Amino acid sequence: MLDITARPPEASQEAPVAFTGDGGAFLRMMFKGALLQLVTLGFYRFWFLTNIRRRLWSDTAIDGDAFEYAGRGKELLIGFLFALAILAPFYILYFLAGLEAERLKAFASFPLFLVFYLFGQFAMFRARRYRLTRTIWRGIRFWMTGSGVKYALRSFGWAILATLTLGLLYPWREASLERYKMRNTYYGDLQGRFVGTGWGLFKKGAWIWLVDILVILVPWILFAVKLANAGAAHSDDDPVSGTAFADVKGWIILGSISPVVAVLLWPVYQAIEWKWWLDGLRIGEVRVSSRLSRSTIFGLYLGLFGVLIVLGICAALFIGLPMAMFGGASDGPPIGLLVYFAFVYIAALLVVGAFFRYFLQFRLWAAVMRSLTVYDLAAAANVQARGEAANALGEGLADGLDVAGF
Amino acid sequence: MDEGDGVYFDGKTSRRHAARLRLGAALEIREGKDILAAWPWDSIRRADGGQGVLRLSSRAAAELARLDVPDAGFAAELWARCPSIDGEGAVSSGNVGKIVFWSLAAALSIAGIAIYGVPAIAERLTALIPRSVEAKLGEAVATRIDLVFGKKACGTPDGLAALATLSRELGQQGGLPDDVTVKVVKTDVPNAFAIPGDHVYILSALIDKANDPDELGGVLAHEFGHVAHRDGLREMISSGGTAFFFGLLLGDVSGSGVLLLASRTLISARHSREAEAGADAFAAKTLLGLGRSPAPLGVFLLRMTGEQSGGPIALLASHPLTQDRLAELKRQDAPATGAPLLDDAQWKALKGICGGA
Repeated sequence: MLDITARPPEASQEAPVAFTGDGGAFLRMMFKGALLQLVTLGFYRFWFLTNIRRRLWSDTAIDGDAFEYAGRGKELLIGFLFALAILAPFYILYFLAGLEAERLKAFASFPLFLVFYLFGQFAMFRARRYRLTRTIWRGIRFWMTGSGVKYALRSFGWAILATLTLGLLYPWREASLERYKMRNTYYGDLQGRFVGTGWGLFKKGAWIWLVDILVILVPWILFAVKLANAGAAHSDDDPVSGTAFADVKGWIILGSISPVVAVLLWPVYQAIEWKWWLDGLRIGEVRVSSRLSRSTIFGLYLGLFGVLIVLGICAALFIGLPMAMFGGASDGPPIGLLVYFAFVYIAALLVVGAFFRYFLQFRLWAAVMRSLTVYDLAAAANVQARGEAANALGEGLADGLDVAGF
Repeated sequence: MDEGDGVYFDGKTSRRHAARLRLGAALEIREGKDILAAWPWDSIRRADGGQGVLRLSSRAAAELARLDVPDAGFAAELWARCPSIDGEGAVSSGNVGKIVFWSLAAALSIAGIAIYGVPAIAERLTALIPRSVEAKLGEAVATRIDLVFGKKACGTPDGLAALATLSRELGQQGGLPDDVTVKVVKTDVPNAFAIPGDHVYILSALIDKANDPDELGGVLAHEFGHVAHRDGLREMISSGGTAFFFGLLLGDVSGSGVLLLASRTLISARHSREAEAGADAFAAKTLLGLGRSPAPLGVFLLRMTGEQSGGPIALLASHPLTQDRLAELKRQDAPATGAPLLDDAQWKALKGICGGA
């Protein structure tokens, strides 16, 4: 006899994540948006951002059903105006406080930047809440509880610890902040949590930290040792002379190149952190796992780098040729040429911005989404709607403070 | 084709309903025999669906109730029956024309505030801010300037005495308060400037290049003019206010920030041209009062900056030496009737204020 109450097979039920975005269309959208931003002196950014999110959200589907971004450009504009009303007196207070501090000691106003840091973290938390409550899947919205102030303080405390340990505690900071964000995150009545640990990230990423520290420090340490030896050997003459001087140049070049090597590891680290973060996400019993590979992320940065080089060559041609033609003129460049340079400069900025968004938003999003498998989606099959749409004040603050993500 | 398939979410739970849709008097959404919902045609709006899927919402249903219609042919049929599918509440990319229009209107108003409003406010505020507050402001700026120039402040005893004599003569004649401080700093750039709170800085190269006490005295009198007119404070309020407006309102704008910076420079240059002319007039009056001619000031300035044509660059210079200014100083030339500003020994001491060479 068939037992219909029997549990399903042990293997968890899997659901695919699909991303159907069209890269060419996205790039065209970026150029159009950049032009409109220029024409509107930047005011178009509220609608531009909204359209980018709408596109990415609706191109992403879990188990065949696409996400929806229900935010509006107008909401961001209003949020920004409210943020202005809050920030304007704050900036003035900050200026006056800075003035008093300056009088006591020049540059003593520096610690006041900490206030801005806290404000920025608060804004980021609130902006996340806005984005989440505008994210809809199967007719139910995501939403968030928790306090932006508590989050900002938590972030600040961990930032101090991470700085004091030269970044060694950074993984624990990330884990702690993510736990706070995720346990305050809900899909309907399904609560989220984060199960990734600081140790888990540390184990995977520590070698990068170590390599970076070594690569940056070792040339300088060796150089200092060598210099000290040279000084001891010819204590009577200048330690930085003759053959020793040739060494100095070599070491300085090496010491300057080594941070570049360190930067090369950034995409690798990003891939590690993304995968760690994704694997740690839970909404109720629903979980995801990611197959995101390091070479994928590295490829994105390589692509961006290649495009930047090509753009750099183009810019050099556009600037260099007219310079060569008019360089001989004695009474300075004509005003038409200055206008042309300004135009080339702005055009270059817009094109670079478009490609940044293409590689580091669209392509990254696509890579992350396509790497995912969702498990135990059945746990979200009958979720009750909860939560209200939050206002866009956080987004506005983040915009005003220049800490906006995307 | 009055019937088709869809996927329905009622906006109250995440349950996925494989629905049968019927295009009747309203849009009827059924699952098996149950009627899940009936959406009036004029309540239906478009929402963002996935690739190749028409997603709909209804003003008559829960806010997040959604209906996905995957079949393009059926979706077109359904679409045709909705009279206000793009009406209020529908998803839209924003009316680009409207956004551009209002942005330009806002930009125009901001520009108006920056060009006319902020200087006017600065003018009023300058008059309202008490000297004691200005002194505090000046102290903050001075601490920072001292930090930048570090230990390069000059001051041989003889040199300082000569400088004090020159300052006292000019200051008393010009009716300046007694607590104006004049500092000499050692650098290769020939310049002098006044900051809020009655502080004047003279860079040593300017002293090196001055031929006689009248030239240097003229420059000092000019800077005293800025002090008397409180130009430093006005400039600080004005440029600070402009930066504040542009920075806050425009946020992180790629590219156009450069244009704004350029326009700001133009605005403040225009402003400082008026201030320069005012300081020149003050200097001329002071010098004539002491029986000395203002013409050497013009000669000295010309020697320091070179003759500038009326091209675009001169328009941008923050310390513009225009032909008008030169002509004005030359016009007021008069034979010297008073005693020299400094005697030979004092002048020599002042030239050596940075310690010989």
